[in-house]
Amino acid sequence: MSSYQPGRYPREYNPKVHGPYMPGRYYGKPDTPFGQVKLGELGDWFGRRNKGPSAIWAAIHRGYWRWAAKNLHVRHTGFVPYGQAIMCISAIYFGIMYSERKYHRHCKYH
Amino acid sequence: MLSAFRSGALKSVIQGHGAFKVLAVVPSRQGHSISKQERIETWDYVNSVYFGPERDMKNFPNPTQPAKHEPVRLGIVPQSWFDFMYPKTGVTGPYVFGGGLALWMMSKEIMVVDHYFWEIPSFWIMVYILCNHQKVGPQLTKWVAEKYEARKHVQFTRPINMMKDAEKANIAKLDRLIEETETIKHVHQAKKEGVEFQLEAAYRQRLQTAYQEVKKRLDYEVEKANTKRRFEQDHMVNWIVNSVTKSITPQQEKESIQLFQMDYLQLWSCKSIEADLSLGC
Repeated sequence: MSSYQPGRYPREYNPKVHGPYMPGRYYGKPDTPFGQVKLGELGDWFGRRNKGPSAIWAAIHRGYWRWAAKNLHVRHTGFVPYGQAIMCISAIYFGIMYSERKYHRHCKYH
Repeated sequence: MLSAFRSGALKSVIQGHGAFKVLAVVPSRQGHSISKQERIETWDYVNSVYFGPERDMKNFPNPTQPAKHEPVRLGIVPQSWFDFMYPKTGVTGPYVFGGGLALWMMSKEIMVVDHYFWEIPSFWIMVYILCNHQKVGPQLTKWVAEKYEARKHVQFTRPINMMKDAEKANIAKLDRLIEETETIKHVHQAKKEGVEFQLEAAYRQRLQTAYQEVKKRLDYEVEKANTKRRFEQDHMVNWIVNSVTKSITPQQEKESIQLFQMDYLQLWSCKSIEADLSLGC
């Protein structure tokens, strides 16, 4: 069952238990955080993940809101979140423009 | 209720997502102002849902707004990334990883040094110069802080102060009203006493009037009786005197004068003898 539905709260979200809705918070059953997973258990960890398109979309949204709550939506916003966003956009454009920029290579063999 | 239908807020309830999936049923603002009572009821309902007995405050605490962004290194790279790498690679690991990755990509010409490439270092050099300039950096910080303070004033401080002032004025007005309603008791007492004074005065006035009237009548009766008796007496005296006077004949008068003269002489002699005796002593 997908946890994310467009325009709705996640199915696991229950305001009586969880309080006000935070878009950056995962309301499903918590698993080991990615940083604490051993290399050997990484395959199992990925096997337990929900890999549907809506789940991926929900994960991207959760990530954005978690980042925004910690960096962008603070009382005194400095340059840091904008710099991080600029670097992310640069990385995305690097991927998009890669095939075009490959043309400017100086050497054939590396 | 109709406005809830109109705003589509009840849609998810109807489609079987439970009653608690929609918490903020905000009515559309088409000529409908929410009354204070409705606001209080909504507030109480939302509070009862969010902060009921089932609420798990330990695992799901309330969101808070931090004052600043997360700690960073190298200007923008989050501290958490270095903390993540530290147990695996040590302190220099993340730097070596970043530099090595860039070097590897440039060496294999995955990251090609073309015209676009220089945008990144030139941009970051400009940012570095702006942030570390003696004048521009502090000025920028000051300008942003001023903007932030102005926005905070307009969006938070001023409205909440206005509301506080309005409520203070309201409370003062209501206190004044309570005081006035308390003084009403004394005003009522004073008015009651005034009316009682007036009634007492009227009663006494009437008593006095009745007394005066009765006295007048009694005085009249007394005067009438006195007058009648005086008149009768006078009349009787006059009648008797007149009758006696009429009944005296000239003969009788002469006799009586003579009798008088004799009596007088007799009296006078007695008097002189007494005087002599008194002198002789």
